[in-house]
Amino acid sequence: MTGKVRQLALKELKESLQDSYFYILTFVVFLLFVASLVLNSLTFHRQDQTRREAQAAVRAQWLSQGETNPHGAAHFGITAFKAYSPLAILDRGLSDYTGQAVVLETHKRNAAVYMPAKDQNAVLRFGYFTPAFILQYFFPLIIIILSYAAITAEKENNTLRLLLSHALSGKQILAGKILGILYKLLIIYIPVVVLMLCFIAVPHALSWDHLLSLGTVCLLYFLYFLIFALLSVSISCYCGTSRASLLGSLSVWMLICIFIPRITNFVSTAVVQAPSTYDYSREVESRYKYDFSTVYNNIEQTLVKEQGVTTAEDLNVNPFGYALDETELMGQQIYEQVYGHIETKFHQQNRVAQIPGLLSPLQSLRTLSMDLCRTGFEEHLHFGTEVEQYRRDMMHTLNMDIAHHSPYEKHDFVKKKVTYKQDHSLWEQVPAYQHTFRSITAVLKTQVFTLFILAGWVVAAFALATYSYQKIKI
Amino acid sequence: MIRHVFFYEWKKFTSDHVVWRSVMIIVLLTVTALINGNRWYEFEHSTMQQIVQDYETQKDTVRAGMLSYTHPDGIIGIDAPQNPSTFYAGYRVYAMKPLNPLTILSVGQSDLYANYSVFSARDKTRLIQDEEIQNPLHLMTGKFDLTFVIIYILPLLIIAWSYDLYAGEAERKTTTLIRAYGFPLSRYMLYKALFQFLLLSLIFTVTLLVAVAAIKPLLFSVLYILDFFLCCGLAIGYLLCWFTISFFINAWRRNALFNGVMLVSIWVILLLFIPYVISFRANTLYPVPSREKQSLTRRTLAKQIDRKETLQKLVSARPDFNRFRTDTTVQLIFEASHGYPHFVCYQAELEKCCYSMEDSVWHQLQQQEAYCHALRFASPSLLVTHGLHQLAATDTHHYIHYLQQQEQYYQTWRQRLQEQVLLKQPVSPAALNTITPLHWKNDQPYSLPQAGTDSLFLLGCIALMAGTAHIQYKKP
Repeated sequence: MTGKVRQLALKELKESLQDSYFYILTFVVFLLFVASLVLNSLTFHRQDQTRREAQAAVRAQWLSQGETNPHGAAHFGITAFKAYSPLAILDRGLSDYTGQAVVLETHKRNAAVYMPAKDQNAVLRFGYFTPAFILQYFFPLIIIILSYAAITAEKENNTLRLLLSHALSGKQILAGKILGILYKLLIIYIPVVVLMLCFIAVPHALSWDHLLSLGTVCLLYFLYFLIFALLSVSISCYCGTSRASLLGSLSVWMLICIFIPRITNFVSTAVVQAPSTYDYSREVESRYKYDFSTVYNNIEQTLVKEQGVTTAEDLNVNPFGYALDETELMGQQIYEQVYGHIETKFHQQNRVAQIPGLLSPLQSLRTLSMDLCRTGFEEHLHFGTEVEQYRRDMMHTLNMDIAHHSPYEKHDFVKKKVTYKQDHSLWEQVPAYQHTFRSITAVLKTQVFTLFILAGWVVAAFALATYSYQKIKI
Repeated sequence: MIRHVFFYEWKKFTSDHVVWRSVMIIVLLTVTALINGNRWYEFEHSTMQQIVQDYETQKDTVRAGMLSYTHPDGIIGIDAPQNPSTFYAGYRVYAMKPLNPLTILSVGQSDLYANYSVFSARDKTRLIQDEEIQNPLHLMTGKFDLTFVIIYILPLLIIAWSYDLYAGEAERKTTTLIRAYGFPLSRYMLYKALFQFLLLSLIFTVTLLVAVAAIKPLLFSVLYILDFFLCCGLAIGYLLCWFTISFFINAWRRNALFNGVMLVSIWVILLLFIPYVISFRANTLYPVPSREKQSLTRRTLAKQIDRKETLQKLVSARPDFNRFRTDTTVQLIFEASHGYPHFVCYQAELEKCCYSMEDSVWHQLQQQEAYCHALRFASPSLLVTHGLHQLAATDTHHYIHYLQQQEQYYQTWRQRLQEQVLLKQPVSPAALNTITPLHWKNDQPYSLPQAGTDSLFLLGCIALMAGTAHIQYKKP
């Protein structure tokens, strides 16, 4: 029985291999895929090089700033640039729609700036030609072209009756057809995977973690193609003619790839509306209303009491450093609440989007692909959290230096004259900023539900195909 | 003959419920898109109203503070609202690009760029980020607006309607009958396509008019009605273009399957492939300066600018600015070290350099836009999208124009207050009324000559394709 199924599948494959259309199609896909890989690879290398140079230059600037007051240095700050994994060659994800750098300075938590989409022409919004784009949009089209006539062609050529007379059940015919499509798919997909390895894994000496991520992405794309193959064959079972089958399959493609992704945005913003930038800014301003002099005086009094001295001049620490650190902490709490609220809103929106997204496997696949290539939403949040932690540590180091090493000076907004200065020995205490990527375990942990949705789609597509063979009519 | 063809087509469309299904789809999509567009418009509009209201409140509070301010020594301390250094640091003004109500039809780049900005002379932005806070996933996918429906969805509906324009008749063997009755096949096919175009246009236009009347009747006001009808005209031209493409493909008299595959391929090429190639070429020809490098330059400048020297240079050029050293009636922040005068001069120098960097980005972006604009004829989708975005003033070109004005406004504002700081000139309550925040006005609307060129090109293409198809149908 299995032999017959395999025989049918091989017959399907043989027929395709004799067809010049198959070669043309494969060639076009290859050409597009290679072109996108080369272009994205070049863009990635150029951007990565610029970023590395800029980050090194920022570090050099920080170390060579000479003698200056630590609080002045805290205002000068550091700029942290977002790093990308070579996996971004495969999927640029949200990298064009998120800020690429954060200016780390005292008193405030800045949002990421330099969104690349703002520095590119509007035509970009028609779509970016990445390998992921080709895999997500073009490959399903090819699968449809390879499979829409799987059953209907047999009906139209009256060969279905012949197949059934050869003691093949409807189920076996369907299995043979699906297997045949998978063979064809693998002929196209395996070289694509090899190309990905050649362009992404080999030249960049990917870590095991990223190699595993690439493998997972390849597997997930294969599952996505499988869903389209199963859907297309199922439609072919239901339809009487190849024409109707093609139209049905194309309609499903348009629904899954074009319509549902946009409609999910509409639904998620309708259900969860994030306040405006202005509202959030007002919120920060209304909360960020501490009086520095009061904080300073309180700390000074506490220290005088703690150390048992009579006047502030006798303190062995400078309360100004402690006051700066205290106000920094107050600011951090406010920003944490506000940014936390924004993140919560976005998470809620993404969760709501998963409901209409149940109707499109592309939604789940895209999220997983972006996140595994470290260009997704969660990676962006991770970058934000990481740089904020770095900023806090940096400011604490600088403030504590003022507290413990600078001489006591009564703080006065009118008469203040800064005399205390530090040199490179302090600047070196602040480590260089180094971006770390989330591990594959961390990535998959945040995407368990998305993985379930994609797995659900595979199961549902199989169930539909299994059910459809009953609908095959001679 | 035309009457008979129309009647036959109508019967065919109603018998298999194509009309009612299409009406349902179009109504659903149009209404959803308009509601979504309107929600975005209202969201931004109400935020801008809030900014204006808050500004007025701030003005009243500051004025009251100025009038009631007293200092035990009879001077103007740093806590006085009229103190120029306090005013420099704290008084917020705004710039905004009020959204055109046509944004509900075409959101364009309005979700990507800032539509408003709040700043003080000291802080170029008082907002936590420049642009509106948006879920990046939504930015990537784009908003579900009417432009999306027109550009992406309606062509698919046209393909579904007309892919078997000829093949359907041929399969039913009605073409033989038509020939037997002596009807010219070319005219018969043309009438069929014309009927489908008129029907779809009618459904779409009526739905759009009713939906707009219900959701945003403002578009029917004298101010916007012409632009609104231009939008409708562009959309209908686009639909006609797609019907002509289908008519053209059908003219080669291949089977319906071939037509379907060809039309979907054309859809992919016109909507995904050509725009990307043009965008990529524009980016390569006119690359935007590296933001990383700009950021570094800014940091270097921040360190290099000598505050004392800059102040000295300014004071040498304007000796009256020396007043900040002699006048004791007004206190400045960190006065003992000339902190504030140093700071304002340093900031002026820094902003001047940064403005040139930002301007270089805008210049390149404008070049890119001009390139894409010139090549918009390569695809009807680009042509119509450009037109719709321009009509709604939501294209990149308008945003760059606004950002340039905003930058100039900020520079003027900062310079004005810088002088007051150095002259130790308190801000008078009356001066508050002379401050006019920037409300951007569109002085580069979608011009009639451009509309004419676009329409002529679109109609030329349509006529060429229809003509070729007509000749093709005439072949035996």
